[in-house]
Amino acid sequence: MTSLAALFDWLAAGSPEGRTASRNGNGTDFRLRTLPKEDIHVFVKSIDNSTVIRLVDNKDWLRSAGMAGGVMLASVMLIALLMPGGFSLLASRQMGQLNAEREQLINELRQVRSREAELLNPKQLEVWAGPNFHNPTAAAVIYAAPAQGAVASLRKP
Amino acid sequence: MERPVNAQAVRRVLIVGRLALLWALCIAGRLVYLQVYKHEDFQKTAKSQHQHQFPLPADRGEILDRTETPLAISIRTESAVVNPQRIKDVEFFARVVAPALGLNPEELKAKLKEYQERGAAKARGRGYLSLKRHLTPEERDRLRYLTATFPLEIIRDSRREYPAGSVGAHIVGSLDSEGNGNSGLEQKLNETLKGKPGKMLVLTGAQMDHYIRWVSEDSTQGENFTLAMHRVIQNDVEQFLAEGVKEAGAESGSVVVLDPRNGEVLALANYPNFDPRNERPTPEEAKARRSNTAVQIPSEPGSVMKMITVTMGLDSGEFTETTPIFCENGAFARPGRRAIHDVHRMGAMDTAGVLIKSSNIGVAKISIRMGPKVLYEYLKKFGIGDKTGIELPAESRGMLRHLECRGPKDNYCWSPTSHEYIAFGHEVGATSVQLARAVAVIANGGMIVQPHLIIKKTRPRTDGKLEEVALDIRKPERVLRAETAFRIRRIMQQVVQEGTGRRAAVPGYSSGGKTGSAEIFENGAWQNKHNSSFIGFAPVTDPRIVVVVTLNRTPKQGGIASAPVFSKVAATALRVLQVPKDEPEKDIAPPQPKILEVNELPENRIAKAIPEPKEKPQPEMSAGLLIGPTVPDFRGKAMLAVLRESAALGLQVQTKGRGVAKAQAPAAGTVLPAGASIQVEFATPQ
Repeated sequence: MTSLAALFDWLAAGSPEGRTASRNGNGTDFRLRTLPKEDIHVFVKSIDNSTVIRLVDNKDWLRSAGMAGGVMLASVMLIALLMPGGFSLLASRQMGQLNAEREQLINELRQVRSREAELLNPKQLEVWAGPNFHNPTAAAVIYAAPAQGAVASLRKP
Repeated sequence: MERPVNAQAVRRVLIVGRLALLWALCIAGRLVYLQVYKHEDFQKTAKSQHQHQFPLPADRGEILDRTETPLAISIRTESAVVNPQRIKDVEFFARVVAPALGLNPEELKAKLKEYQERGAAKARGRGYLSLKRHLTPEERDRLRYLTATFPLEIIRDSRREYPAGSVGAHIVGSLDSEGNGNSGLEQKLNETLKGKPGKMLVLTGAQMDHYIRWVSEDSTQGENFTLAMHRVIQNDVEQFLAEGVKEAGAESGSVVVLDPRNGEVLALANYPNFDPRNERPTPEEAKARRSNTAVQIPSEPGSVMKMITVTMGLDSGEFTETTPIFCENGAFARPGRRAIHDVHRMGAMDTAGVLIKSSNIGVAKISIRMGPKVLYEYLKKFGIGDKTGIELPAESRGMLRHLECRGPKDNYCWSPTSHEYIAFGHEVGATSVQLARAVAVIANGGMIVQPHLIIKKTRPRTDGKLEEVALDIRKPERVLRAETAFRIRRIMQQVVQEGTGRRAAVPGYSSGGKTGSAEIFENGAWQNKHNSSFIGFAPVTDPRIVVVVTLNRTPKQGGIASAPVFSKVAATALRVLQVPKDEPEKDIAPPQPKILEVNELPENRIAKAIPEPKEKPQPEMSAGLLIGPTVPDFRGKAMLAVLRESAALGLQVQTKGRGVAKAQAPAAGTVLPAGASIQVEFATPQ
């Protein structure tokens, strides 16, 4: 059992030497004083691993390698299985974007065509041309030879 | 040591167990009822609570003119809508959103409150209020930031644009506020044009907030239509018609320009016109929008009907162009029948002259000779009384009564004298499109065509390309012998050259036609107003256009009011269609109206008194077929007096020089052969 201050000391001590020094009261004096009625009781049990012997087990190593290989293979297979779906997901998204872009371009084309038709409206042309625009007189209209197509043009006065 | 089990305890356990089993069965039954029996109902209810389906408007099909220039086109736009029931603080909403959309905050607030109060019960929290349609890009960007804060939504919408404005308005038509056609092709082809709307599914939460949406069925664009109409011809036709109506003092009018070879309608104009872009039309505009005179309103055609009567005579073989007909010197009276009058007192004339001079009596005699049954057959051959099938709404079939009465109470049938009056355009009604089809029979060598506006129909495929759809247009059918049509064409050419339609001459082109003036009889009296018309074609040898001009309720006659409009329209149409000229190139100035022509009586007035001539010329033969009028003595008379006298007698006079008449050929007192004219030479008195 120990106090909060002791707990801080234990946490702050870091190395075993420090801990020993702290326990012996020889460490640097940065410890907090125990606050009244602020005791925290921590039970510390020391474990001694010095007698534990490490044994090399080849069978265990093979099992581990097999497990890792299996996991990797399964991962590859899973990726291989998911990849087409993923690609199609990406492709469909791309297609959706292209489709939206196409729709937008079609709409813009419609706007441009509408504007063009509005500007080329005969009424509008007459307004712009003012007195300079009038229907040609009958004698002013000539026709090319039929072999070249019946194209009307204006004869210069 | 085991305790002995009490029998009563066992019974209690069994009772409790049975009750538990019963309860379990009830639960299971209820579950089966809910999950199996009522499964679909609850599923539907659940769906209706959280899943909503909204229609995705389809793009409306395009209407193009024959040069593939758009006349009506739909542009996709976006509109802002809101569910007023979800707005907690209306004032705050209005103050923030209104400026972003360029709206008045107070008006928006009032609108939202009104909707909340009145619409809540009806809409059950689902109603939407359109804040603004067709957002500009700036408004849309401003609104996007606000959609996170407010229950605003930006939905897909579309705007119908009419780039040509009022040009061809009666053909193209217009839309109502719901986006459905209310006139013209927009109305007639509404179902085909509007396409198939798609479906958008929206999942909503408890507060009706949308958290996911997807397009479950995409919309399909409507079909596109390419018209035979040429916007340049149409524009000029509308202008000439408006000028013609104003000059003639008419109330309304219509012009139809048709290609007689295939029935394609190159232009169709009505006056008054309207602008389909105007979403809030004035009452006058709304009326103009509803009435397509050329298609929907039949009127008595008057003398233009003589074309059919004379054609009947020639085609049947009973008459030739030179068959003489005595025109009773202007009054054809028989006991028990209404007298038929001619404006000009004409004696003996050949059959061609009857059409050229527009003699009511002459065509009545042809009709009497042929009989009502034959006349009815020929009227039907020319399509009178039958719908043309033009793709415009509410087409009238005109007015042609049954030949024979279907019962004692049937009033809609021919009387014993009907065929006499129908011969010159009374007791019958036809629309301008019907008349155009009838003229096209003559212009097309005796083949009847179906007037149609649509020459191409396309449907968008799934790959975005356009697929052409076959059209169902009747093929031309022969109804007349070709030689009859050619002969009538030549006679109609003379109508323009020397008859009542001289003002219809087209510079550089040969043209044929017929004038018509049916005086309006209303409220028991003649109104001194006419439905004046001119039907014609050009060039005569190979007609490329048929034009029908009708001016309604004008004091002037067809030859004066409508013929000049024909001339202008035909000149423009032939120029735009690049039809080579077939006559010497000279600009013919339209002749100024003469006093005689302005004051002449309507051609078709049949019951109005005509002042008796001082000296009534007497026919030399009672049969009245071979003897012509005696040539009067014109010497010493002024040109106006000569013209007036010759017109009164139905004589054709060719003048030379100015002043008073000095010499004439043939000499006074001789009998003038049918079709011949009198040469009168004038000289200034010394």
